[in-house]
Amino acid sequence: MKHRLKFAGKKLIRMLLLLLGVSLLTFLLMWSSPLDPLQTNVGQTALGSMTQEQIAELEAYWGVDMLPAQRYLGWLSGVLHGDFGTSLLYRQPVLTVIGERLANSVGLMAATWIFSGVLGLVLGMLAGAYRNRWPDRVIRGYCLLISSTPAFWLAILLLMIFAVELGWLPVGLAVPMGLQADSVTFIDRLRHGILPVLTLSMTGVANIALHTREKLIEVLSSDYILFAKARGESQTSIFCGTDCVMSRFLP
Amino acid sequence: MRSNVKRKPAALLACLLVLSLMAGCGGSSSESRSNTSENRSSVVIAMDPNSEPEAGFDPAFGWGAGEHVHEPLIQSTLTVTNTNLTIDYDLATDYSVSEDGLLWTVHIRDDVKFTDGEPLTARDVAFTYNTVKEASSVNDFTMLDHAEALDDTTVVFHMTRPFSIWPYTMAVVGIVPEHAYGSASYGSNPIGSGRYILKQWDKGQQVILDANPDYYGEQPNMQRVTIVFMEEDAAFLAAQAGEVDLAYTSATYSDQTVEGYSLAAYESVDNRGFNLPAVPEQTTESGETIGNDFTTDVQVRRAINIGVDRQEMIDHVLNGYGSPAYSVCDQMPWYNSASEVTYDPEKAKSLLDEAGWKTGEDGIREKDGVKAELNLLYATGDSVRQALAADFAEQLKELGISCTLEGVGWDTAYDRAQSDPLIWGWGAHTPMELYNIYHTIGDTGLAQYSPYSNSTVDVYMDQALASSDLEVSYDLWQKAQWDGTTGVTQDGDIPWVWLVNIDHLYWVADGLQVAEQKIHPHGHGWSIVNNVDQWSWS
Repeated sequence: MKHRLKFAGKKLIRMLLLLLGVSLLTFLLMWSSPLDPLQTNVGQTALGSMTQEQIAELEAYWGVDMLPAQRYLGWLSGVLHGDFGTSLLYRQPVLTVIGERLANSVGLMAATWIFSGVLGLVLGMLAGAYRNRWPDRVIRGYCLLISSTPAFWLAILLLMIFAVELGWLPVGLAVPMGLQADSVTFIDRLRHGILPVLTLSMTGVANIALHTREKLIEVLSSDYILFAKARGESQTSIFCGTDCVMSRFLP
Repeated sequence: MRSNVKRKPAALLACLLVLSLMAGCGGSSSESRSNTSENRSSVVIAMDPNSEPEAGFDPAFGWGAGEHVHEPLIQSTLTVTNTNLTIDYDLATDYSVSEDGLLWTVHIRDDVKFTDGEPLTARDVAFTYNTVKEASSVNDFTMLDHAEALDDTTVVFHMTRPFSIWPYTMAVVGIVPEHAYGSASYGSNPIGSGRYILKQWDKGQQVILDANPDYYGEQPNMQRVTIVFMEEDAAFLAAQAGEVDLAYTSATYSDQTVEGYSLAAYESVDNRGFNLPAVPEQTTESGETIGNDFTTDVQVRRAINIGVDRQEMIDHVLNGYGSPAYSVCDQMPWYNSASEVTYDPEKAKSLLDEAGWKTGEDGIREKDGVKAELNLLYATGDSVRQALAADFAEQLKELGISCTLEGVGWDTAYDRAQSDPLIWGWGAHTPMELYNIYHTIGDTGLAQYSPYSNSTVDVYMDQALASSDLEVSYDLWQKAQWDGTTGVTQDGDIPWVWLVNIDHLYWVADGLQVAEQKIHPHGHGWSIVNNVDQWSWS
């Protein structure tokens, strides 16, 4: 028991330190960014219609003249007390803004993860099992092609095919356009989710499939497989047995 | 063994499920197509994602104002701008200003109710302006001291300095109810007295507006307006798929055809132009380099202004979707038509010759050891600006001026523009922009965005702002541009050369009648739906 607590404790501290490091790095990157918060958030034309006095007020609001250390430590002390502050741009509590975005993304990411995980695994195993034969070639070719494809390009391509040409699926949004929230059905949400999940999965599959394939090849060339072959085990039973071992390899 | 057996069928099942859904649901057209011409009182419009107000529909946080001014739809304003950018009344029945310009008195209608049934009174107006001043995000309220309601229908504005164009500010401030306003919640649940009620807001996706049945003015034609926020590519695909009735687009797509749609171009004051530094190259007290030894010569600037074929730029870069720009405020009530020039490259060349810029052996002009060279800057990420700059360079080459092009980021562009010409985009529904571009600022004695100074121009503009009559002020703004002797036009100092006004392009579904647009300001956005209540299906 004590072992496990120690283990968990160490992991937790590591994670917190990592988060701290990431926040510091993010902050430094943003601070050294040459973008002026006024130009970015207010816009050049709006600034061009303002008096100097107003611009000074805006600079005070966006904290243009604040010292970086002061900004970071202020934020950090707030976070440690559980107060994530209010967004300057959205004028809402930060957690609310993040929560809204997260709620929409979570379902999508979960579906993509499962879909691409399962598909990637299947494809990778097929490719590994039939190494250098045509299934392997086809799968490898597909994966390499997809890896070099940017996701947004694929998205537009799929939209052109399924939304415009065939008209099967909607062009955008997570809910039908112009429809009131209480009239949106589960089927509607599924329909709107198909293309995003498909696009993200197609790009995500490549990585998983190729890694699975490598691992499988590694396992298949190990000693006890050789032993099993020598003993006369059939290809299928080796493969199925291997898979049980494989599942322990997979992260 | 177990896991493998389970995985393959599971994957297969998942695929089958997805395919069956697609096939099953593909047939039925579902609600998303109900916005086509079968439904005569609703419209779906695609706008760019930047148009979505981050802080919500709250006038205190810039709803209706900012870079792309537009009518707030959900709320009412005291005044409105007409299609020709003159002022008309909305909530206000009349307004007047004191002699010294420090007190504005506005009378409002007494028959207006908010959508929750409460009447709109002068107290709500005063509350709105005081709140907006305090929150002060993209609206400039430094000229307002405070607003006060004298009775139910009279509100007075105490100003800190005379500001003749106050009616233009009044035209973009939506009135919020004092009894139902909280700065954290109003943005998502705005209660107003305008033509539309916010029915639903799916953040990052769409906004649904329903017509206000108790509106005090003319009942809206369009009962339901849905705005979806999409990137340009997606908006184009949405038009092709027939899912939206109106989609914004750009010159890039202007040569496409979409079945069932036509391309509509609306005039804008969204202009592009170059600043030409009007002082010799020097180092300021703070160590910055400003000025340009070539453009400091006024004859050079004049030659450039008439030596540029603006129509050619429009035809080649904008595919014909634009109009020549001769000032920052073409067609605005404060525009001086003396700014207009005719393309005359021969005259431009002779101007340069007379000024002593003789053509050298390499075809480039030279005078007293200074070569006729320009390093033209453009903001990276905007292909239209880049193309315009390249076209400009080509044309100047004909005049014997050699140009190089350089892309810069906005972080350095402002400083670089003090010595090298940068292509800018301006265009607002207020003369304050004219002021900020040409008027000198206190600490440097030069104009802010490009070094230039002319005290006569300064004086006219200050008088215009201090005037107590809007009509008189228009005249003064025009004098600032050219008063017969000096100014910022061709015969004057011409420190900025304006090139084109970009038309705003939209794909419009056949049958949709879009009401007459007022001249669009800089940027797409909500300007197109200023009068969506007057649109109709034929």
